[in-house]
Amino acid sequence: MTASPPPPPENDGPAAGRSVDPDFQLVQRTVAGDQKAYELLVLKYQRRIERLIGRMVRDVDLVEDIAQETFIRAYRALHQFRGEAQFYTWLYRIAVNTAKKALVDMKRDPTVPEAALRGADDDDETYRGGNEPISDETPDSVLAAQEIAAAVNAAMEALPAELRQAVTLREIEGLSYEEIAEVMNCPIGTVRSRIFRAREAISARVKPLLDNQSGKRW
Amino acid sequence: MDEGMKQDLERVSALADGALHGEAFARAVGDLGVREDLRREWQVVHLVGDVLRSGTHAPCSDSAAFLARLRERLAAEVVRPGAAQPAPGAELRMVRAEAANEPVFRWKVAAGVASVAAAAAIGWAWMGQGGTAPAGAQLARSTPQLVVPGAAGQPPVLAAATQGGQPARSRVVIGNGAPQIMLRDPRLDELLQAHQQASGASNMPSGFLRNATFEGPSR
Repeated sequence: MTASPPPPPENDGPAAGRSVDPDFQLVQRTVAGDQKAYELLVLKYQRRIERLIGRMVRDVDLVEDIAQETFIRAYRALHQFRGEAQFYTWLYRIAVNTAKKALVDMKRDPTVPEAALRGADDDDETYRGGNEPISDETPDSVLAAQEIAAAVNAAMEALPAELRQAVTLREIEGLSYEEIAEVMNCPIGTVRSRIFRAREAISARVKPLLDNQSGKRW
Repeated sequence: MDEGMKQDLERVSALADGALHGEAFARAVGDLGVREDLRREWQVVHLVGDVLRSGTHAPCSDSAAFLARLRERLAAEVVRPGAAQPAPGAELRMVRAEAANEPVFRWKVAAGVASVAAAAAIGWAWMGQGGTAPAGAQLARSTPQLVVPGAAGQPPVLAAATQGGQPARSRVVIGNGAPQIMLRDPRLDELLQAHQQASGASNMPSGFLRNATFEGPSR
């Protein structure tokens, strides 16, 4: 009598092992009626969208309002997203157009102070206006942000080489699991495990700093 | 950290990289939708990625409050007819349509509609005039009219002459059709002639008579 075979690993679906655009997956899921999937996209891109809008509008309340409007507009038009471009590229244009429209509307409103507005042309992603704080940024919050960035970089430096290489290829180079497996000459499952362990180690250093931030401003 | 929690976090990491499919993907999304700890891990994974790519960290507003507010607004959104849950395993067909971020100007549509409305209004007015030409040609093309002698003491009446609904060829008849005689006062002729002589005008006919009087040339 032979021993029963070991249980198969957790099935990740028919396309297991093949990486696809995670954003497009979530878009499809949202269009199919699952609003929770859209919330994951919101959580993923809220920071980048607010930073983008913050370069165009100084008032942080307005930034949040415009970010809300951006995600609402994107949600309404989500069925039109064809996946030909990156989701963030698509969302980026919606955010810029929403911010420009808000600026035009506000310029007509005499109750909006001039200081709350910035040039609507500062929508270049490469524009480094991050040094100019928006209205509710304090020296403490700026320092906390710098500490978080430093913690991430320090955690990266402390990682074992194979973990650091795996997460670098994924996060910075944007390679898929298959491509990383080929580069690192290891199975895809190992790639997945290494990337997770690297993130886990970085997260362990970052989370205490995030918890200390007032108002959960991540 | 127990093994189950570790597997959950690894699934979050794999989900962020697009490495989950089918049932595993659906289950992971479902778990993230109900578990705050996994949603937080999802945020941290992307925060770390953003920092690694940009080298800086940009804080954002309170994500929980932001999401709660967004949920309220999304709840008011009308569910699109095409947003039904597909059959398991079925791939969604994305409708090829204009992307929301393309430079669409709604006023172009409004201008087009206004143009069509204006054209329709002009056409309607033109049809209401029986398709006739502009005013300059209206007299030449107007329906011939017949002067109907009025009753005794009444002025003649103009009437459109038609035959079976079609405009009939006709001519203007005045004075019961009898030959008309132009009555001229001979004194007026004399006057005109005397006026030409008195003014020393040439024999060329004058195009315009400035003065007229009944007194003779002896004046």
